Amino acid sequence: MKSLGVLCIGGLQTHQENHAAGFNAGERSHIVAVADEADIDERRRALNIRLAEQYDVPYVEGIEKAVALPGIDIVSMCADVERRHRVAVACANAGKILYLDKPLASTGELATSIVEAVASNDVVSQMYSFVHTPWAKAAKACVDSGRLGKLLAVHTDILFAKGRGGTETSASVRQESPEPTQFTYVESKREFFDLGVYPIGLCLWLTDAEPVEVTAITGNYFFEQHKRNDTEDFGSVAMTFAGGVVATATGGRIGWNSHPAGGPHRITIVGELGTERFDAWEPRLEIYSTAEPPKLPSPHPQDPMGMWRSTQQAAGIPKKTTYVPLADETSWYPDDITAFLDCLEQGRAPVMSADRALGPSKVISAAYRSAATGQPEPI
Amino acid sequence: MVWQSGFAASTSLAPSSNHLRRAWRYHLVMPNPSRKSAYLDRLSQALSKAVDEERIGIPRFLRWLDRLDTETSVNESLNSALESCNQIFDGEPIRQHRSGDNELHGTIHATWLNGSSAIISAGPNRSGSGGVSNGPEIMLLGSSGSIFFDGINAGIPTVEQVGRV
Repeated sequence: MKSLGVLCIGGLQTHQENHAAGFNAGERSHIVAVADEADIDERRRALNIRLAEQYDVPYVEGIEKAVALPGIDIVSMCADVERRHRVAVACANAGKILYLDKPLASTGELATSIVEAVASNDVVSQMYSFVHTPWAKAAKACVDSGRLGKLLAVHTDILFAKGRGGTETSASVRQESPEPTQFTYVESKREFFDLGVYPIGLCLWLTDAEPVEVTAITGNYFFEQHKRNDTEDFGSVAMTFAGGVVATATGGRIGWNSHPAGGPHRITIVGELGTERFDAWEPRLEIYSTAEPPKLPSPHPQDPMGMWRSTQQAAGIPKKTTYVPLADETSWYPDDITAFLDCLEQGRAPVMSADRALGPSKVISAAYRSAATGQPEPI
Repeated sequence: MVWQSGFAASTSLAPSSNHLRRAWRYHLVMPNPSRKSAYLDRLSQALSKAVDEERIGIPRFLRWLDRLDTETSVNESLNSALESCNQIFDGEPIRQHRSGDNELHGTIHATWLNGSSAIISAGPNRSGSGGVSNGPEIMLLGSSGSIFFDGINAGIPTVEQVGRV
C-alpha cells in the first residue's frame, strides 16, 4: 500500500491533535497540509497554523484550494461542528476519503447531507468512535455470541473526568433548547452532544438498530463555565427500539476529582439469560501508597476543562495513578486510525461509516427536543 | 410508554437541618422495612449518609442497575430503587418514563423538581451464578464528587447474616 496523503482540516485545540498524530505515526499515511475555510476567526486560524508548523507542512486557506493540492487522498475532518457539514460535503464532492471527527454535524438533518454526499460520490468514510476499544469489542462479541440469549437492553456510560468540578452549585434548573445552534466555546462545549455521541453510537452499534423513540434529560450539574454559556455538562437518554429492546446512555463531563481514572466508561449488556458488563478500567491494579496523589493544577486559560492534549501538557495536568488498567486508554485514538487504514488497505467498509454514524446524530437531535419538552420524542 | 407526572409537593416543606430532613424522609418516603432486604436498607442508608454529609456536593444523577434473582420482580426492584432515589433527591420525581417488558427487564428514566435525574434499570442476573441476586451497581454523581458501588464485584452481601441495626 502506498503512503496515503492526509489533509488535516482544523488544528490545535481540536481532535486533530490526536488524528494528525495517528496519521503521522506509521508508513501507510503522512500529513500533506493543514487547511480550513478562509473566513474563520483569527484564534482558530492561528491554532491551525501552529499545527501546520508542528508537522512542517503548508497551511492552506480555502477548502476548494486545499482539496486540489496534489497528493491528497484522505481528509481528516475537524472543522468546528457548526460548519463541519458544509466542509465535509465539499471534501466528499471532491472525491476524498473522509476520516470524520464526532459527531458528524450539529443536527441529524445536516449529518444527513454528509451521508448523502458520501454516498453519491462513493467515497469511504469513518467517524471516530469507541467501537475499536477492547472493552467495546468484548461487549460486541458478547452480543454476537448469543450467550446471554435474546438481547433485552444495553446500558452505556461515557463520562470524562476532566476539568475542575464542583463550581456549579446553584439551585436553578436549566431549560434545554429543542434545537441548539452553538455548541463550542473556548471554556465549555455542549457535553451531551460532544461526548454523548460515544455511548449512543455504542448502543446503536451493539443493538445493530436505530431506536424509534427517546426520552432525554440534560443538566448543568458540575461546572459554572457550562452554566455561564448555557451549555449542558451532562445528559442522559433512554432509547426504545422496535421489538422492545431498551438502551440507555449517559454522556458528559464530571470533574477531574470525581473518578480515579479518565471517567466512567462502561457498557452493560442485558440478555434474557443474564447480564454482563464491560468496563474500560477492568481488570486493573489499584495502587495506594504514601506517595503524594497527583493534584489538578491551575487551569489553562484557553482550556479550563482540560479538553485538548496540547493544553493538558502545557498546564501540566498529571496522570492519575490509583488505577492501572491492564488495557489503558492511550491506544484508543491510534487503534481507530489503524482500523481505518486497515479498511482502506483491505477494501473493507469501516464499522463506523458516515452512514452508521448518522444514527447517533439523529438520536441526539431528538434527545434535545425531548429534554426541552420533557416528553418522549420520535426519531 | 407511560409518562407519569407527579408534583413533589412536600419538597418545599422539607426542614432545613439534616437531622430533620432525615426524619422527614423516613416518614414520607422510606419503604416499609419488612419489604426491603437489610442489604438494600444498608445500601440506601449509606448513600443517604454520604449525601447528607456533603461528601459529593449536591446529588445530581444516579445510575442504578439491578441484577435480579428469579424471585424478585422487575417492578419490585424498580420501585425499591426509586424509593432510594427519592431519599437522595428529597422528594418524588416530577416525571418518569418506564420502558421494558416489566417481566425480564425494565427501566425508569426520571427527573426531580431540582433538576436531578436518574436511570434505574433491572434485568436478569449473570448466567451461571445460580440466579442469585447480586444487587444493584450504582453510580451517584454529585456536583463535586461521585460515589461508585460495584455490586457484583463488591463482595458477598453478608449484612443479611449479621442482622439489622
